[in-house]
Amino acid sequence: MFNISFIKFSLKMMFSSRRELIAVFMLYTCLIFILSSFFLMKNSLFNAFDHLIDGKPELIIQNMQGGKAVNTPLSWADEILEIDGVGQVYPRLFGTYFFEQGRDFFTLVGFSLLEESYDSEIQSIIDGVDFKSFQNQEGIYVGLGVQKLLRSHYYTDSFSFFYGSGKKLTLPILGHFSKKSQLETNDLILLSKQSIRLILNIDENFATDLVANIPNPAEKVIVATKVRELFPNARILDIVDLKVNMKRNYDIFGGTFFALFLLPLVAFLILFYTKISALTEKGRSQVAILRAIGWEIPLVMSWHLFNAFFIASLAYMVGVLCSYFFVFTLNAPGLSQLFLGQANLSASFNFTAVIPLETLFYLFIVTVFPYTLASVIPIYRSSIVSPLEVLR
Amino acid sequence: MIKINDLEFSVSDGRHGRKKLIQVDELNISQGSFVLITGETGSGKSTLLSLIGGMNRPTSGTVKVLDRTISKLSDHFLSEYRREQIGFLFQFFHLIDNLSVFDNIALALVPYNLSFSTLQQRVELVVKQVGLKGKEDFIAQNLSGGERQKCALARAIINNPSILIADEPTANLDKAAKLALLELLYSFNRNGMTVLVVSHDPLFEDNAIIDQKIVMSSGKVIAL
Repeated sequence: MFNISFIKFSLKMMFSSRRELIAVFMLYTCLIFILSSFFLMKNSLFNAFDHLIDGKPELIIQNMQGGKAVNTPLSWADEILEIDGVGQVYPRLFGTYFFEQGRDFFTLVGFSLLEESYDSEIQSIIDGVDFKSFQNQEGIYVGLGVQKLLRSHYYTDSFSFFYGSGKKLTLPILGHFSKKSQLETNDLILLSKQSIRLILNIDENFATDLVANIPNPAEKVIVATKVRELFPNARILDIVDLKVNMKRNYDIFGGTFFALFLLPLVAFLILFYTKISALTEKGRSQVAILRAIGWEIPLVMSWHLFNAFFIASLAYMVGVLCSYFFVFTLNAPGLSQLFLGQANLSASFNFTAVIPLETLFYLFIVTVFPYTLASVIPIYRSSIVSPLEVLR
Repeated sequence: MIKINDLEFSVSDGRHGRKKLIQVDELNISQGSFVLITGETGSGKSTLLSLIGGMNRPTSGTVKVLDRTISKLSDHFLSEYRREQIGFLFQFFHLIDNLSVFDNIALALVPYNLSFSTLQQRVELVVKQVGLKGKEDFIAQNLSGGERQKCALARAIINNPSILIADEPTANLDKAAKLALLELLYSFNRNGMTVLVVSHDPLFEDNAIIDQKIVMSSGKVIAL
């Protein structure tokens, strides 16, 4: 049935109705493009989340006063370490710094070459630091967003922090974080604990918060309860809360995107409905002509099946390729803002190319196949009618 | 060659039951004859053609063509019958407007799974027969009425059918085109093809080419 002549004439007949073909192709490509862009962005973000969560500690302990997080005494760490099930406790030093020239906020994180970090990305930076040269000249490591902003203000080699009453601390820029961790580190500046204490005015006996490593995840709840008993004003966050917060912050399932998602869905349903409910007069006439000259019903249906599959598959491929280019090359201008609203340096996250093959396969199944099959229904209806009734 | 017995064809008439469109007790058409079917509008001429051409199945009775009872055939064999034994020619040509002359004619060969070169040879042959040589690449909608009808004729005869069925084939043609078509139909008939024409056009009778005339009224054959 599917010989060269059949394919050749099917394509010829399809291309003979160019206007209709272009309209369907454009609409279909747009639908695929929007849906595929969403899935590519979502997958890229989730991949970044997984990378982010993997390096995170089990429990974060903050000191709350009047509903607000304040610096946590380091003495808490010793008491928490006494609790059974706690592996390590790391004090964290971090805070925000307003960069006046750039009118934006940076997140400062303190590190020590003598301590193991709770964060794998920070640890990989620390592992790469030359201990001796860092002792001679202290410096900072910056996220890609920070690097870009600093460069635009001609801070290429060093950056000056202002603290206290007009004092200045100038530190050389020693390196930057990887693109892979950009979702987490985009607005981040890594610097020594001494420097951050100086800039953010944190006393030596305090840290911003503490992180407790719990080797056995089953003991997490018990440890959290014991920490609360010891310090009633402590707020304890665990990795699950963090994940939920991130998804909420990045608005993946938020109303805005849902509205955007609904739009192509409705358009698709209209297209689908139009396909199954009606065939134009021209379409009916074509079917009748073919039936009159001896085409059997299965052949007529195969012709339409082939046409619909061809156009839907082509639109699918073009839509997916365009969305790939849009998301990973252009960084999804316009759409990315719907996802990225949390970081201090907003919208500077670069989507890393991760192809969700399974999702794209499902997208193919739920868009191409229904359209293809839907197009056959009116053809069948027209095929079983006497050709003479249509042609008369 | 064509034998019709106790033929009846009716269609649903809303809530009032069925409306009888045609009732023919007996009709025989011999092979290779040129038959003209006439009668007033709504007399059942086209319905009779559709039943002989296998486009409709009778409600009762039999239509036998070349010793084969086509009224009992399944859709598969009925399609095969239309493809191999019947050529259709319509008043409004019914070409696919955006396709070329070549493509319109070749469409009738697609079910045969022929190689493209064979298909091309066969199309070239009929194009020459109907006098459309050199116009193979013309788009159907750009042709004159006469040329469109010739293209439709080429499509109808490409499978070398036993019967050519023409429903008001001259209705939309000028006099020169009518005569050209008549000449072509006559030549195919002289080569053994049975030609059944439904027409009000006096041209067929004036030129004395018909072998048999069937007059219909209210779904019945009233004169042979």
